[in-house]
Amino acid sequence: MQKEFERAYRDAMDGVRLTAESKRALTESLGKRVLERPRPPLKLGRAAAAAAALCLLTAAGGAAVMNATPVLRDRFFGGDSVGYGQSGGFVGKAVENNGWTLSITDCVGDDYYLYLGLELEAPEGTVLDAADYDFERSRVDFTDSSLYGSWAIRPLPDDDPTDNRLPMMWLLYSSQPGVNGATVRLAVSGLGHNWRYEAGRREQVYDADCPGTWDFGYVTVRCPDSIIRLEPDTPVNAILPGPGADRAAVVSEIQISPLALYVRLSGEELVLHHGTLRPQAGDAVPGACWDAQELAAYDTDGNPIEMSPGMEIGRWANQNISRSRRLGGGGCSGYNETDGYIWLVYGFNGLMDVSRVAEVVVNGTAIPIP
Amino acid sequence: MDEERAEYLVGQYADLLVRIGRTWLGDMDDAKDICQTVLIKLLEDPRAFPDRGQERAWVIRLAVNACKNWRKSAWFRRRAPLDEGLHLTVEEPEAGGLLEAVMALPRVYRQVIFLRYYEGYEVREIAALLGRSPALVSTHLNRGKEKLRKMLGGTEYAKRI
Repeated sequence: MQKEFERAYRDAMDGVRLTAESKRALTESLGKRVLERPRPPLKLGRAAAAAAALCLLTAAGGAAVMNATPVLRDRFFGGDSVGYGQSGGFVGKAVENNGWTLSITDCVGDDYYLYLGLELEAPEGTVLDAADYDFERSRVDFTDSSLYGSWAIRPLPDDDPTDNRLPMMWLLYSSQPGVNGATVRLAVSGLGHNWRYEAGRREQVYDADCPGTWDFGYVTVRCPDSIIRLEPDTPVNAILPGPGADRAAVVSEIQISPLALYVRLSGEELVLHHGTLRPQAGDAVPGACWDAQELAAYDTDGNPIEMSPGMEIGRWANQNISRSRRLGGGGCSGYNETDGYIWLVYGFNGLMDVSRVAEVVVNGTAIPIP
Repeated sequence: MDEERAEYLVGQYADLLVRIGRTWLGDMDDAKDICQTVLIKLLEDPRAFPDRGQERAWVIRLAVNACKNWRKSAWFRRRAPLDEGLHLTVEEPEAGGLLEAVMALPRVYRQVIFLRYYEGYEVREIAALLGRSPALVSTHLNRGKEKLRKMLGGTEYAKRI
């Protein structure tokens, strides 16, 4: 009997097919397509790197192709690695402003975060030796309005502070997935250093280096996608503050990218898990529920994988300016009356080879990674 | 070379991708877009496999991931994968049959039924592909079949499940 069902189901499913004409049209359309193929981070010469870079980024504007080494790979993620190959690649796009050239050298990204490596090149003879270069304004406009979040730009350690080049990093974050491959308008204005507060002023002041705008226009950056996406539906306890406050939930989603581990706890008991009374001004702010969850991951050798909530932005040398070192880090359904979830985002300490993640432990429940 | 590969991919996998898209997303227009999206991915990643079975397994994994992204992200849904003017037509069995009943099942049930009874995967293979435990996959299979029996009532199909 079982076999009869299988046969009937197969026959019925076989009846779902594209017409021959549609297949011809599809073949023709695919054949004509100009491919944008991501490249692995091979050790290419400068000209070859620039050519490969165009495969990862397309832009509406007519900006120049630059020649630069990949800043993210060499200055932020510690050199070439399996994780870089799984999520990053050369870009190669440069714009000029008042004789200063700003280049996007490479990218590393997943569904929620996109790192861009930047190299700033000042006119010959200029020395970029300050520790806290930053732009007065920056602009990130996704064409897809469902993508929103925040971003940060940081200078990276400069191995030659006496020259006219400066490595920087731009991290874009969206609380909704789809950053990788999205089209976004990128622009920065007003470079300066020695950012500081002065008595009687609420805004920071700085010493100007270069006014004007570096506008990359609308660009589409596409990183390789090696993300492991799972829907384990494993029952766990969601930990909430207070005795007896834990709720039943399931791990409804796990994503593992070279950048981060993402875990979603879902369940009816998580609907309105903060209660229905929104805090009023002056109320004590309770600890974030996503910070209360206990998350761990182990590699194929059984060693714990180092990770922390959110994503590393980079260290500011000027510690007088108080700025967060991490971006994003989790969320929950809050006061949504129909949806109940807690969303955990843990950035790895460096780029992870996703094939080496063997187990994720959520609030004491181990979930093997196939 | 790209034209030859395009012809091979369409001939080998286009129908499979439409079937996966239809099963995972429940909508034929979305299924057509998934088909195009995954075919583009296959063109962009011309890796070699030791045999056709491993290649097919990889294509299925790509398609399942594409469907997950499709459900989660408006960005995936809004873009036109290929030419705006490309309109694909899909033949489907007549309404009122077994397939319609399977498509009316909750998504998780029809997914495991597709992988088990159409692709012939074992429960542990489905578990690995979907990132669920084998026990949960078995549960979904049994519940799916039970629901099908109820939906189909006293029809000939119901006796075969």
